[in-house]
Amino acid sequence: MEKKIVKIMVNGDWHELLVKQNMTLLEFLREELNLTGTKEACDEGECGACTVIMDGRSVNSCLVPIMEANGKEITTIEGLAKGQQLHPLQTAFIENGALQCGFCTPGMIMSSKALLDRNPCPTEMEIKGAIAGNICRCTGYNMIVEAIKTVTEPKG
Amino acid sequence: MKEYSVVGKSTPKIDALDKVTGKAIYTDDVKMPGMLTGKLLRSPLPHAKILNIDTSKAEKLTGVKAVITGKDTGTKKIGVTSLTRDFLWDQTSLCIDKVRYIGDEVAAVAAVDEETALEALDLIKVEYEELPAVFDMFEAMKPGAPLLHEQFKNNISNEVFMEVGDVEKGFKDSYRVYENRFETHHQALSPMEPHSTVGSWGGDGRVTLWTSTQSPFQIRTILAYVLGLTEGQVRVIAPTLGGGFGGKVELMPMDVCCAVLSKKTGRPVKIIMSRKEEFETTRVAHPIVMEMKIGVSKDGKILAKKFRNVLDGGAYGAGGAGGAGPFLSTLFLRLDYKVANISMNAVRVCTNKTIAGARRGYTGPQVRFAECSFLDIIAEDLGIDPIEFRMKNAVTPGYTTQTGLKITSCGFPEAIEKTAECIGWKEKRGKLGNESIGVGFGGGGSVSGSSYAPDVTPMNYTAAAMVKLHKEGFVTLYSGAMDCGQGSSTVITMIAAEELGVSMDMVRTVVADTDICPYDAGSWGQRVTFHAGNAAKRAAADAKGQLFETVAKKLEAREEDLESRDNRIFVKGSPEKGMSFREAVYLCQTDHNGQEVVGRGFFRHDEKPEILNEIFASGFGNYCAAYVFSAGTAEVKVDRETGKFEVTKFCFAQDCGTALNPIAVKGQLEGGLHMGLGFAVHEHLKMTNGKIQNPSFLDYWIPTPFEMPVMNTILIEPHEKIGPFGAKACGEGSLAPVAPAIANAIYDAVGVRIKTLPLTAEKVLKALEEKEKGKS
Ligand code: FES
Ligand code: FES
Repeated sequence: MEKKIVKIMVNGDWHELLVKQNMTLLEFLREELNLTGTKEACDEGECGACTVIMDGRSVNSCLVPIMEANGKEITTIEGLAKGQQLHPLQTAFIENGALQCGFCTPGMIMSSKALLDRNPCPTEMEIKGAIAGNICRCTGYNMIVEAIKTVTEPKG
Repeated sequence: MKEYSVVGKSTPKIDALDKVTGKAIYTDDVKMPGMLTGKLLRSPLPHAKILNIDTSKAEKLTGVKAVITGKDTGTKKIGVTSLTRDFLWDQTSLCIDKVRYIGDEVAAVAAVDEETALEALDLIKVEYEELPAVFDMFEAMKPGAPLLHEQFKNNISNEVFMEVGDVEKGFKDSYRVYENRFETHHQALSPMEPHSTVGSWGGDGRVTLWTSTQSPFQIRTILAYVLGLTEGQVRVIAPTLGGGFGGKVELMPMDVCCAVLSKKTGRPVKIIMSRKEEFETTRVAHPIVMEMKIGVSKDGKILAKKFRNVLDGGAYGAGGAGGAGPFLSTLFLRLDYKVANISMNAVRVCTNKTIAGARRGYTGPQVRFAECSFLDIIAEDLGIDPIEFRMKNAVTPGYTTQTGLKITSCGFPEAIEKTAECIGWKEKRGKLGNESIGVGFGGGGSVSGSSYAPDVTPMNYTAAAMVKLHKEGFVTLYSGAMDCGQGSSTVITMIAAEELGVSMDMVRTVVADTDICPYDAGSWGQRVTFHAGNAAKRAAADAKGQLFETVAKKLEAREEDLESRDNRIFVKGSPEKGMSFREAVYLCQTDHNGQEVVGRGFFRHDEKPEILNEIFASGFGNYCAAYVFSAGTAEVKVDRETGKFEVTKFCFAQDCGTALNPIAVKGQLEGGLHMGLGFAVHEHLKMTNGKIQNPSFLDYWIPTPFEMPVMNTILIEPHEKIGPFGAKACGEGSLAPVAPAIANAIYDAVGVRIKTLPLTAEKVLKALEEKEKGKS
């Protein structure tokens, strides 16, 4: 497999690396950068565990060929907190019981963040819509939806 | 009652911070220098003889470091049941002479990367001679059916039979006798984290396994046995677990393969299941056909019941978690109502299909669907309200069932009443048919801590814990119990903190490392809060006792007058007469020439080890120290044109004893409802001739937030005297009420009775059409 150099900004830092062209963004993050917070649960784009934000949009990183991420800006779960200061969504998930095993959690939080970035005051239906592609086997989603609600800005 | 300072308050999980920041390390995140990727070659046939395996081409491929077959992993069987019950054992790590289902493990490779490993699998040539296969369990039991395992006659791996009272007389004395048949299907467990293992065989002959398991100590016992090592030569470390639900309680072929591949290559080897493998080859819930007969008096007392459960076990598993299936399927049916005459039989049958094992609630959700649907049918015929019918027969505190189950605390009647009230039973039941809206009830009992210890410690205790006090006032709690995500590590930390009288942040908890932590039988059978919790409490009490001895001397007070609370130890009633917890630890160490203050605790159910084994075999006797009860009510709206229905509301009431961490209990109920709804309505692993047709999230369909009804959860908290701070279990029973509550609600809405799961729109529509036909 031919290798190519890619330059990708991840969590604010540029990474320039020689990679196999058939690599996915998920593999790049987990294997090359050792950012293992992003999870792999299906590798088929069907569960959302691998969700990251690419140029402002949430994507299933297991479906993104690395060449497509070239030159783009990526945010992963590791890039959310500022030092010890958690992102409000992270605090909300902790306080509202919105996680159990935690395997869906990074993807769930990234999907919610992408939603709130473009729509700071979503309705309950919009929240559910934003995480409908993220499967959680543990929580029944209720506490996740409630957690996200606590960080939405009131309408008006 | 005493005000607690830690338990009883909703507390965030101790690992939540790591989980929301992506720092939590799961098995797939474990990386080591030189680590290789392993892959398994699986059988494409449901039943065949292996004539030859040629691995030579694969071995020559650049990047391949080792290829192994059954010759390397050996003839010793894997499983979870006690080593003394080896007659049930049916599976070798890799197949030796035969494959028994599509997906059966035949060979394994270790290579420098995944691509190479997959390429190597393609190069392994296996010659098979296909054998006739059997997929239907009733066919499998017929004489002359293809036999999966020589030792299982008629393909029956194990059977339970028991009788109490005089069931025939009971039926004779009955006002009416009913008979019915119900059936359930394959549900996949699908934890979000696939089964994952890293094995490393050290040069010193010791093996370390990092693995996604609910039961590190059982993995150690069986792995040591299979590899011919002593348990001391095997270390099992369970990293953060991404969900288990019963599917990760047993040693899997991949675990043994990682160890053996690592031995061959001298390098660590990692195997991760693909999602397809996860669906096809890990574990599923037993499909069960349940034939029941119930006799009742005119005023609605159940006088006799007789039933037969036939469990579809798939290709293996009677030596695995599957072996408990027949026993448990009967246990749950003789736990919740007072019945004097019972006859029951349960068999587990082998078929050439994927393997059934423990699924959250283990057979409870299946038999509860049958029992609760049936009770509604009977109540209607008798003209009694279904809730009233249950209240007449429900077990009550202090009751001992006919088969010897000793109910201690029991919130079942209260749970029934509360859920009925919550859904608006009186106003709605039987009254909204013209809007095609109905309400239904489901519920029953479950265990609070399965007391069977599959691999036997010297005294058959099932959980142990250790507490170490640091002179700066910190505490380390060591427990063998694995947190599957439900928050068990959080709750045992709360228990230790409460008992010691320190705040949560003073306690650090180390779990699930067999070299470091004391023994625990595993996180299954609703046993962690109860067993590991009790062990943690006793370990803390032991350490506290040592501090009190020192402090009492110093204060010239009596030990029994001391109290420990909010990081201080003082004389009860005079808080100024005391010292800080930190000072007390320091003093205690100084008093003992620097000796560490270490507390030890364990828990086991009162029954003697021999008796527990006997109970497991015969069914008679008190299986657990306590029992829990759950009840649920559903409201559904049915579309008569299409048969489609929506579950709009669900009320859950759970008898959990003292709710130590209420938000975690609620999490279990909501999660249970989600998995229960999947089981009842959406999830069905479909098979044709043993081939799974929908092994992906997209085709299998786990409910999304849009399918979830409005949920109300009610905690019923009777104090359980044997439980830690009055607590009982709550994680598994919550699945069971869901399917029957929905089925009964559908009946209430449109008058059709669906007796097979899943409850689909097609079935409802067909039943509606047949009902119409019947009318005209
Ligand atoms: S791992 Fe990417 S969607 Fe499932
Ligand atoms: S918390 Fe376990 S999958 Fe969501």
